[in-house]
Amino acid sequence: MNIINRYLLRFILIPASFYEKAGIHLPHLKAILTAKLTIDDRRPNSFQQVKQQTDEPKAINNATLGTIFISLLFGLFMLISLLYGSNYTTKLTLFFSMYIFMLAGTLITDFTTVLLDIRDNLIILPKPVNDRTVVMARLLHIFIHISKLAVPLSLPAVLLIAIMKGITGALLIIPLLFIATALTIFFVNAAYLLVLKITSPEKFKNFITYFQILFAVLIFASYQVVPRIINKAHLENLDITQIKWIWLLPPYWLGRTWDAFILWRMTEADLIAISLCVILPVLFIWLVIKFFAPSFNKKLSMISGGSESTTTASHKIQSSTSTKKIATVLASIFAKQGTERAGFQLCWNMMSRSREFKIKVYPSIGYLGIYLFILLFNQKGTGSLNDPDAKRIIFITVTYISSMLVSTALQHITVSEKWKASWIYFTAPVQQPGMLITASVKAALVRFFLPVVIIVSTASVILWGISMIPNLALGFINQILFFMISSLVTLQKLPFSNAPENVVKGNSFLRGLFVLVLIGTLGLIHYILFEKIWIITILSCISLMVSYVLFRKLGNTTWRQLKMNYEV
Amino acid sequence: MTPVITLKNLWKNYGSKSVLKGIDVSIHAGQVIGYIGPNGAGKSTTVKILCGLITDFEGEVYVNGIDIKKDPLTIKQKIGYVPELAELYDVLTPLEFLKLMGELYNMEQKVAEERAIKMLTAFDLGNNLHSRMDTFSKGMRQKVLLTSGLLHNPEIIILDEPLSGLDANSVIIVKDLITKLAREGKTIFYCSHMMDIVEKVSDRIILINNGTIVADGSFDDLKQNMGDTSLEKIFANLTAKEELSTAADQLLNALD
Repeated sequence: MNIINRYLLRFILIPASFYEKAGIHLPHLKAILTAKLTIDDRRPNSFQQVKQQTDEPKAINNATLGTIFISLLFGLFMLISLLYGSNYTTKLTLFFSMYIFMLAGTLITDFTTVLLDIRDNLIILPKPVNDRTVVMARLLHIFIHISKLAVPLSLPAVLLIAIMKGITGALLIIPLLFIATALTIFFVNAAYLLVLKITSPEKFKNFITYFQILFAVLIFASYQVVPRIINKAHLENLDITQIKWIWLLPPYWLGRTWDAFILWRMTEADLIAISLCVILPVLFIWLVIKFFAPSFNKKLSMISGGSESTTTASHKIQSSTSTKKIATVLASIFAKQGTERAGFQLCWNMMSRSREFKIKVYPSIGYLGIYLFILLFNQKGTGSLNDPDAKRIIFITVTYISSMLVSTALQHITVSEKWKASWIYFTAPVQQPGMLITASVKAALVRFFLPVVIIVSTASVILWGISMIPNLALGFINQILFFMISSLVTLQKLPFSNAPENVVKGNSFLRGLFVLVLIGTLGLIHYILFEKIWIITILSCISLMVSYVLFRKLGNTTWRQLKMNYEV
Repeated sequence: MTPVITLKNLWKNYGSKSVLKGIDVSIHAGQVIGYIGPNGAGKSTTVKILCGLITDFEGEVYVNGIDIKKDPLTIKQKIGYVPELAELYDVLTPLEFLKLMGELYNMEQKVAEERAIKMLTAFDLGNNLHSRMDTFSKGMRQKVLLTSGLLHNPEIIILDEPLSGLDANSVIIVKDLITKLAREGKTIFYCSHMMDIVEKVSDRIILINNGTIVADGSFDDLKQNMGDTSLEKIFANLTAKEELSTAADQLLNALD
């Protein structure tokens, strides 16, 4: 256990006599929390889950320090809210909105694995530990976790307020931060419960996966897009007290309460805000303890089996049947008979269902959207879309930047935590293992590249007419060429057969560099020759032929070549 | 003599489906009970009730005369449980995990640690005391699980498929251990699908099917009553819906 967890544990166990009076067995409580905090420390946090799943298990030690450091960075970023707005109610409403959003997001993404950890049912429940100790251990564990997020997240703001409004202002914001934290816990609990109520426990896990992806994208958007769209002059004069529906937002009550106390302004509206701040969180926490927590635990136990297991199983069968149908139809269109068709179906199903694949690849879809937004946003000031230069830049960037998505998918299609299941390839009488590789490339292209082709082509033709077709053809064929080259150089492994810890970090960096240089070069050549339609047409044909030759080469990969890769 | 375990008219329903339909059993100290039955017969449900994992059942469960509904903690202290699934906090080392188990069973930390080291060493895990269990094989995890079930020297040991994933040498050790623990007066509740082992280690065999007990007695009693020579055949006679060789033929025919 690291030093921070050790001190937090010591701090939390100070009211020992209170715990004992409440019927809590102190040595059990300490033992459970010690184990839980040690486990936390060895578990990657949400940011690491998305960014560093390829690390070796040992490299994720001290995840606590990582969480604290990242929270502190976001805390600094949130200071932006205190620099704008014409009054403190506005500043603090913005600040509390960001605080609640960040805390809720990290709680859902980072702590879901803890909340959904059903191993407790088998490990702790058969032991002679009383229920109160188990419940208190869970509550204190959540409290410690939240403290590690909330303190660094709010510390920069508390310090800035101390500088701007003196120590009173800083002291006054601390209880409001507690209330905001309590509200966040309520919202997260309510969201969990709502989702569990309308879906099966199994779908709940999917919901969490998609939320993690959305959260990663939103964080990316917040530091890429927000600074670009913020109109400083407008923000400096912003006064949200004028907006009527603002009363619906709890951050407003918190901001207004702080402002009311600092100015000692007790109007009717201020008194309502203060009352809402005090009464509702208490009510919410009571609701959580009394109703939500027990039913949540009950629902949670269903994930491990029990009475609804059959219902869950039937859900699974239904969803897998529809995916299977799509996979079968697409495989019959895009893949040859035999090995390649089987490989295509396998890859399609894995890409649709594997949680780890989705978490690694799907955020790229969001990142792509954000890049496109930034691109169009930057162009907005420079002229119309029909301006020849703007048209050329936008077209080339949009076309070539979309390769990022397929490239990410290809990078992860060979990796799986369940890589041991790949024994099937090695024991089955597969004559041409390269077919499995081309199947994985085809499945990734159909899933991630084909939609891009359709969207970009349609948009280009609508915006600029059919004269864009030769350029569209070269753009997409060049990307296929790029996928073939990068697959030949770096892929050369069977789908989902590589252990995450075998993906060496240095290789990822070199691969990234290679991908950038290669796609950049292809894009630059296209950019230079953009208006020369005849050359563009000839280049398209050449690029297509080279792509075909490379695709054949990839399909002809032998067992001997593959085994060399696996022996490394 | 008061039975160590008494199950009286035990029922458990999942919705409209009854998994246990009035189980009545009395078990005495020092007995090795082979608790067997086909998949879905209700074995795991019985075990989970005994271990306090399932609390919403009908009927009565007594351990050493104590009602499980009234004083579950005292009962849990007397039981050592090795579950079927090797659920462990696998980012911990085996020593960290077993120290936690020791604390939860109210053992002195020093005693728990010393015992854990001795037992893991006996299981040939002496060199892995400080390695994280997420790197362990299935058999290694099973050894840690077995150690965790025995660490506090319980009076009653509930083993659910304890030999799963173990190598041949470890199987011999565990079989020998079961016999010796019973000789020391421990009561062992042994669930398994490995009929040959159940046949060898059990003093008494309870066969459950569709939530009811269909046979109860020593292996010799069962042989005499059923006229079969092996537990496997007795099991098949009492639980199979159709002739097993017919099912094998059907499988074979499917290959044509």
